[in-house]
Amino acid sequence: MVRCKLANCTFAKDGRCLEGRGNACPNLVADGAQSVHDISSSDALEVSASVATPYPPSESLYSGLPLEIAEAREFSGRSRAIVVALAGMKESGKTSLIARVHQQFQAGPVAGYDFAGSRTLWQFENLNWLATVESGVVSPTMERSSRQYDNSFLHFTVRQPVSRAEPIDLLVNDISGETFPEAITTESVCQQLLCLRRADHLALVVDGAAIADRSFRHDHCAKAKNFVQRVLQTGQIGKQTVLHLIISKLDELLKKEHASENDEAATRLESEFNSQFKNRVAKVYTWRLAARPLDGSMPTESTIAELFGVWVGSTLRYPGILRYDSASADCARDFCRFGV
Amino acid sequence: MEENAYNFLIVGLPDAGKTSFIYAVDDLLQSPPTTDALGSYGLAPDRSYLERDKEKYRAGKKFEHTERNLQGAAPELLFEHAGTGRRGRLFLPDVDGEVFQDQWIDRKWTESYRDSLKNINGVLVFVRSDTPSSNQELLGAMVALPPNDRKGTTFDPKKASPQVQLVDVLQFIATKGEIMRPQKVAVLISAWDTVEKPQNRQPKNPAAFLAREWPLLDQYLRSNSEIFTTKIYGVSALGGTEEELKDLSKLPPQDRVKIVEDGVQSKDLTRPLRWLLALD
Repeated sequence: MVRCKLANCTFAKDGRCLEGRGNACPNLVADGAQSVHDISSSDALEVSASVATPYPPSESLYSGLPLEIAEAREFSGRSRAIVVALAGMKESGKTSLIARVHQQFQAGPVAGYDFAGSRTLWQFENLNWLATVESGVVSPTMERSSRQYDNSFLHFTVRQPVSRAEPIDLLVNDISGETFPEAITTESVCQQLLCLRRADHLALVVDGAAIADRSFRHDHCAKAKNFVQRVLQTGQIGKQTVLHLIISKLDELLKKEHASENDEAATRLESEFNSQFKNRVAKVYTWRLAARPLDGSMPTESTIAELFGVWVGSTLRYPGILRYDSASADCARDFCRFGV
Repeated sequence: MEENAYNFLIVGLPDAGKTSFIYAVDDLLQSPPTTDALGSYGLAPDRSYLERDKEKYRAGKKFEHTERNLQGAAPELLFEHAGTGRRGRLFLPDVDGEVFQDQWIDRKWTESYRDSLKNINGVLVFVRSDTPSSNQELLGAMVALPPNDRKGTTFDPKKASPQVQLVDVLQFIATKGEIMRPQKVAVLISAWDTVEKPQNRQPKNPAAFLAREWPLLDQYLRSNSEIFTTKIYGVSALGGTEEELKDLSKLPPQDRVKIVEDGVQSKDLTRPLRWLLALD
């Protein structure tokens, strides 16, 4: 029987290595050998050699997981950083969209921007895993965004391939589909979405498959508008925010059956977004795209690239950001300007 | 004559061609193919690593990949350059590719490795020309396959896209390593002989090849020119595939090798080293 000598690893129970190293993990020992914590006990000198071997001193590097607000400050403080908040119902395609951008960078520049770095590559690969052949799945799926990341960011640094172009950091806040309806229902939940206040762009993702289904259409469309209404009311977005309505899963929306009816419903939602919000935010954009179509067609990469270009290329925050009252002068370009 | 020690960092995932290149350079120093090439002015006191699998290399046979526990002292080469009169000791630590992969998986590195970065004079990054740089996505017609009950495995970071892993390893160096800036990085695309086959439609120019086949790495290096100055080479340190080497092994190793840079082809595998050493 093999088990791990790290006290909090559950390898012996479920075969999952805490460090993700599988059967090759050097921490695995035959049952009977003592754990790391046991080494300090009085009979430590009798511990088997495999356990007692000291590891060379090591230094932790960044985790590759979504950045907490404090970590994101490194980027918002060093240069112009663009914050995009992605919101929408469960399985509306938010994560697929941002994961698609990562995939597109793996094939070349996106919207004329070169990939210049990312602190969250590990998470991007994790998100895309179940859509790759290597994972063993036949039909691609997407890891659902977790509530634990409601106030954290995926990160890209990009740069235009021209001389003297500065790197631009993009911080993408993927708000979970569980939180989305609760934020509409309860103002206090909405106010806990701290990153929204700092967002240059709010992207509302509405599931095209839901619009194509009469049982869900009206509820999803109403919730999208209600969410914007809610965050306008709380002051989390406003004249400085660029608002995007993104209708996802274009392949599902335009299925032959009822295609014109679905298209009409989508057009109506787009029109309502424009008329209701265009005077209350900086600008309204509408998009229709498919990040991971399931009908055998290819993703709408050019539309996604165009959307990405708008995110990176436009912000109403610079220059002339409204300072938050309690912010100190040396917090320029930092989240604390916005009370975050 | 000036005689300094130069430390290079060799970066690459497992089986990227790092060891073959070191063996090939070691042999080439004894028989420089051109007057510009680096030559050898002697043998280092400890050649145990360099001789370990050299017999197999010279015979054109496959040899074991680097074992992390057998690395010991870094391979040392004594070089001289006729054109400038410079002499030196070149240290090429052949770090097992799994060490870099572990950095990506475990998100940590040893303090000794970190400290060694302070003293590097150049970086050699190895990528393979004959393996994909990204995982295959289920897209288009592949999605339309009939469904079955197979469930996906949990994320295995070891199987993440190679170019993503490699970029993150370079990001660790850029953000956490106290390297000299800009640091010269020679990108060596190994198994270049496979690219030059007539039926292969991939770009024959190494820079164009990297941009097309390893785009994320290419973009990352180009857009971080304050940190890295890059040159890209296509390298064949063995000369051919295992099958082809059965015939090619009639030639001495230094006649089998090939390096390509900006359309210039030669047998002088020391070209990237000369560039890193500012001898060009």
